[in-house]
Amino acid sequence: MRRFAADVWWVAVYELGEAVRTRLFQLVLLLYVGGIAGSTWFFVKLLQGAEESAASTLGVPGTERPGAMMGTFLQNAELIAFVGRFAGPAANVPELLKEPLLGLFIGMVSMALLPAVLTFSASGSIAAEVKSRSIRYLLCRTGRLQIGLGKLAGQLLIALVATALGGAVCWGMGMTLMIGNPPTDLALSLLERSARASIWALPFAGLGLAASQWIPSPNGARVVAGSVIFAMPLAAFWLHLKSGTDLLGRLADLAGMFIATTAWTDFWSTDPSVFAAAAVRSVVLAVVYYSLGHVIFARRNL
Amino acid sequence: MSDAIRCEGLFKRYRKANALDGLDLVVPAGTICGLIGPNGAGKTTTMSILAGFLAPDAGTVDLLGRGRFTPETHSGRVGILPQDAELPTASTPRQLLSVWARLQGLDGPSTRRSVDEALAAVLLHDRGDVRIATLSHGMRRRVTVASALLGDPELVLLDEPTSGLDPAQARHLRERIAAEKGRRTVLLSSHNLAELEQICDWVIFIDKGRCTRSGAMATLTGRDREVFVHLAAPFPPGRGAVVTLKVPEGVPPEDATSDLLRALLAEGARITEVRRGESLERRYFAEGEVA
Repeated sequence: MRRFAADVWWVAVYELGEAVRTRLFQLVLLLYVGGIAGSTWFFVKLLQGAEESAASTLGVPGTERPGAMMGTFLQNAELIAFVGRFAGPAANVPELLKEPLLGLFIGMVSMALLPAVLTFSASGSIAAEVKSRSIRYLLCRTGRLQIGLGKLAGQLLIALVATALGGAVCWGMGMTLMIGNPPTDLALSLLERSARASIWALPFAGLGLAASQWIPSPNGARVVAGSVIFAMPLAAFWLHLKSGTDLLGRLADLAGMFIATTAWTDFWSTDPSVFAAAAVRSVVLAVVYYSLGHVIFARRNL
Repeated sequence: MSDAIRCEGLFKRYRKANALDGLDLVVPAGTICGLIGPNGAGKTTTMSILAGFLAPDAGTVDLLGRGRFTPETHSGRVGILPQDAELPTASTPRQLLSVWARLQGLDGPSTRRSVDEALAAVLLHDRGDVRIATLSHGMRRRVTVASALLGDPELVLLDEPTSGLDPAQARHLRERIAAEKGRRTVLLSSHNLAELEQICDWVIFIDKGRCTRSGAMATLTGRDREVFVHLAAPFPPGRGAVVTLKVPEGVPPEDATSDLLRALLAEGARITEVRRGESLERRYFAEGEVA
C-alpha cells in the first residue's frame, strides 16, 4: 500500500512537472491568471464606479483608491441577493460576507475557470502519452491504476499551482489598487476559495482523463471532454425539472448526484459539514469519471 | 544455468496476420542475447510482450522466475528500452530519469547516484540538465538507453538500441552492453548482425513468429569447434587455399588451433588469415534463416 501511494505521488509529480514545462499549458495557465487579474481589475473598477457615484450623490470627494465604502455596500440588499444567488441558502450570506468581497468574487471566477483549465490539461494527458508511446516508460515501472490515479492527483496539484498563482496576483492587485482590504483576511479568503475551487474542479479533471483514456488523440479527447462539460449544466437543468417525489423524480435526483456542476452551491456553504460532504462527493465523482476511462486503459495494448 | 526468460507457445495476432505463431524462447541468465530476424519476424512484438506492453493471445511468459512482467513484481528488476517510444520533451534527462527511478522504488540518494551513473554510461553526464527538446535524436536515444540501465536491473530488454546512433556512439554503447556480460542478462534485438556477433554470447533466430534456431553464439557460428586457416599460394603439398579444422570434443580450441598452425608452418605454409568459425551473418544466410 505504501509503495502504491508512493507511485501515485511520483506520477503526480511527473504530471505536474511535465505540464508546467509545456508551452501550450503555460499559455493556458497564463490565460487563467490573466482571467483572474482581469476579474480583479473589473471588480476594482466596478467598486470605484459605485463609490464615485455614491460620493457624487453625497457631495463628498471620492477617494483615490476604492474600498472605503465597502462596509456600506455590504449592507446593500441587491448585493446580498446576488451573493445569495450563487452561494445557495440565504443563511449562508451573512457569514460569507464576513470575508473580503474581493476574495468571494475571485473564488467565483476560479470556480468558473478552473474546470476549463483542468479539462484541457487532463484530456491531453494520457492521450498524448499513448500517441507518442512515452506512456511505456511509466508502464514498465508502475501499474496502470497508479498511473491513472497519479495523473488525477497531478491535476489537483496543477489546480493548486494555478489557484496559488491567481490568488497571489489577485492579492497583490487588491493590496495595490484598493484600500480597506486587511492583508491577512484577504490572503486567508483567497486561500480558502482557492482550495475549494481546486476540489470543486477535480471531477472535471477525472472527466478529462476518462476522455484521454478512451481517445488516443489529445485534441479528440479535448473536444469530447469539452462537449460533455458544456452539456453538464443542461443535463443538470433537465434533471432539476424532472425532480420530484415519484420514482422518476427520485431517479432524476439520483442521476443529478453524478453531475459535478450540481455541487456548486455546496462549495459556498459556510457549514463545514456541508462543504466536507461536497468535497468527498467531488473526489468520489472524480474517481468515478476517471474509472469510466480506466476500463479501457486497463486492457488496452500500449 | 537458470533461465532469465522463458516463453512457451506465444501467439499474437494483429487483424489478419499472425505476428507470433507459437514462439518458444529461452534466454539463460547472465547472457547477452541477440534476437535476430527479418522485418516482420515478430521481434518487436516479442519485446513488447516481454515488457508487458502487449498481452499475448496465448502462451506463457516467465521473466526471472516471477511469471509474466508486471510492474508490481518486476519494476526495478527489469530495465526496458522500448523501440518507438518518444521521450517527453519538456523536461530534462535528469528530471525524467529521477522520477522514473523513484517509480522503480529507489530512495533519494540511490536515485541521484543511479541517475548520475546511467547518464555517465551513455556519455550524457554533461547534458543531464538541458531540455530534452534541445537534444539530437541520437542523444535522446541515449537517454532512453540510460533509462533502461537505471537501478541496476537483473534483466535488460533493449529493442534496437543503436538505431539512430552515430558510429562512435553505437560503438560506445556496444562496449557498454558487452561489459554487462555475466553481471546481468541482456536481450537485444537488432538488424545489425556484425554488432550482435561482437557483443552477444547467445542468439535466437526468429522468423514468421517462430523461433527457428537458438543457442550459444560460439556453437552457432562454429567458433568453438571449427577453425579456418587461409593460406597464400603456393600451397604446401596436399593443402588448398583454406584448411578447415574440426575441433574434437573435449579439446580446447586454442590447443587444437596451435597444433594445426605449428604443423602448417612446419610444412612451409604462408598463413594469411586464421578464423574461428563462420561469421554470424554468413551462418544466418547460409542456413536460410531469411526467407
